[in-house]
Amino acid sequence: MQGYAGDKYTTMVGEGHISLMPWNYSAITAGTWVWQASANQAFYGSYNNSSNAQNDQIDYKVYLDVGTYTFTNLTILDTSRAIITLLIDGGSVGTVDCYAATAYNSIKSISGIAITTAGLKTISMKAASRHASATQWYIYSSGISLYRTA
Amino acid sequence: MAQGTTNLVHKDTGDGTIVIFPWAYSSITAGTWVASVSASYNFNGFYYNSSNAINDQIDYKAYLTKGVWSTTLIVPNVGNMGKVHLLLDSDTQSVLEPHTIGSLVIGFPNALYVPTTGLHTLSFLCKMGYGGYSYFYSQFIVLKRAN
Repeated sequence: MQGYAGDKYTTMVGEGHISLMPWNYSAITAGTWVWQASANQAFYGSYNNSSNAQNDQIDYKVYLDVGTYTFTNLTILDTSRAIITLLIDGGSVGTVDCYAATAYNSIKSISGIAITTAGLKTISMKAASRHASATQWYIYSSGISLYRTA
Repeated sequence: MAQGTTNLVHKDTGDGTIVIFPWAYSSITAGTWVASVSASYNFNGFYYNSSNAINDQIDYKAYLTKGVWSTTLIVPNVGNMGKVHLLLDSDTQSVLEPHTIGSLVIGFPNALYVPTTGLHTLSFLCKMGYGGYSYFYSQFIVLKRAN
């Protein structure tokens, strides 16, 4: 893809702000993922791994340019939540702990994600680990964003 | 993604419509911004500045192509939204002052002129509006390329 900057062509791709509804996955690597309605959650519910197993994983496809990105996930924290490991093309770029002693809606983010080559990427959320006090392996998502900061 | 067709030599990238979740901000310049969950509203709630203060400001990053864009908000049906300035890279582009919100979809009255293709900062700056409020509510922010 080419872009126009000034008086010459440059190569540049991708948007600087991508919003994903969590059910628009490209693949489910592991687990059973379902929509669960709830009046206690933003967007009246969330997409989650009802299978509730370690290493449940869901994947999304996004086209990213070279740059630095922040990932955000709108979720509801609780005692039953896993730590989300965020993978890009299979490699970990950070984690967010979704455990909380009491349930509440929260925005969990990972900043400083470096994309060094432009192209189609696979973004994955994996329940690889959990907080010492967490009791289960759930990942909940009501909305996912990736936005470029530099 | 598609290439621009505004003229024969101008090629650009990026979608013509960008939807932003309001909580996916790049920075909060001023104020306290929180999600409110309530079954009284579409989408079960909204994101807003609970601080309700003049000059509260929230910022978003978006990669915008050179051209003319419109900015639309999906908002909860509340009546105490203040005056809101739309800023592109710190310059005011349009001002929205919905005395009462009769629709869930409202647009800024003036177009957003993007001078150069690239990563830009889009900000919403709160001023006191009708009724003395400075609230800014949103559920989705939508940027649409007009030409």
